[in-house]
Amino acid sequence: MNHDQKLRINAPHVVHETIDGETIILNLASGTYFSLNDAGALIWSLVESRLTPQKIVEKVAARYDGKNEETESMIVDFLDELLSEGLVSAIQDGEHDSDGETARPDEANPMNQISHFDPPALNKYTDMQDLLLLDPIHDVDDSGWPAVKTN
Amino acid sequence: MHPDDSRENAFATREQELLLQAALLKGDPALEAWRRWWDLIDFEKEMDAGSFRLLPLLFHNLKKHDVVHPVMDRLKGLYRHAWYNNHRLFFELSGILKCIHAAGIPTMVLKGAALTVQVYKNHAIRPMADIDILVPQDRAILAHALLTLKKT
Repeated sequence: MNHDQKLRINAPHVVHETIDGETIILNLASGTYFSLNDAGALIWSLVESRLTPQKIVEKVAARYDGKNEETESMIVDFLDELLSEGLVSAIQDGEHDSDGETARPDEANPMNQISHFDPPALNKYTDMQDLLLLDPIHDVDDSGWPAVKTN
Repeated sequence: MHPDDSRENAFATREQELLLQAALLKGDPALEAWRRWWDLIDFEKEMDAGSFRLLPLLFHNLKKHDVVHPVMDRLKGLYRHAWYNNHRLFFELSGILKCIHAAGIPTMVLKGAALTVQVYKNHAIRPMADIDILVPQDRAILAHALLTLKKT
């Protein structure tokens, strides 16, 4: 991954929404569903602003105790994971690009929400056919679909 | 069906009315309706299809009112479920419409899909099981044949 090359979300095949602080993502081409933890959602929002990995690391680090190797490594690994899942890609030379750091209306600004930086996590759900067959009220645990109830 | 039966089923039950109010109203009337609906129903029992379909909208409205309740996470799960399923359906729809339009057949999308785009502007609020598309009667057979070919 080129740390100086801006990233973008692979719309229109990748759709996403932040609901009540949780970011969920769907890769329409594969049908795979993902959810992000707080740190992941923060990084995702910065990718949506079309920043470079370097800029993303700086912005995340600025929220905490400053840049350190461990934090940087976690962020870079996470971005690599988003790339490998086909959710984001590097903006190529000549491709139309906005200025980056576009203000994005959101229900809450992720930059203000997180007080502790846990490792960003991309939770992936591939067994969607089975999950869609669940009764989404009674076959799920208290955290709701797609979390299956375990007896 | 006996006429009396159809009259009974044509109107919302008390629970359904309260659910609609909780899902659509603002402020205290919404919150009061929510409390009264919750007291009347047993969430663990089978729910009628019409009420079930309103639950993502209910979640959306309760969130706007900052409602905190043990059931909110399961309602959020219903919202996620509808979001996922509806996006998949719309993805299929785009391929279907391209195919039909390429043959010069005009279309009109109906019901849930139309509501999602025109009214709710939110893929999670109105769960859909399928998508209804209207075509001119004299092009229906061709449209059906195109879609059958597309599936194979």
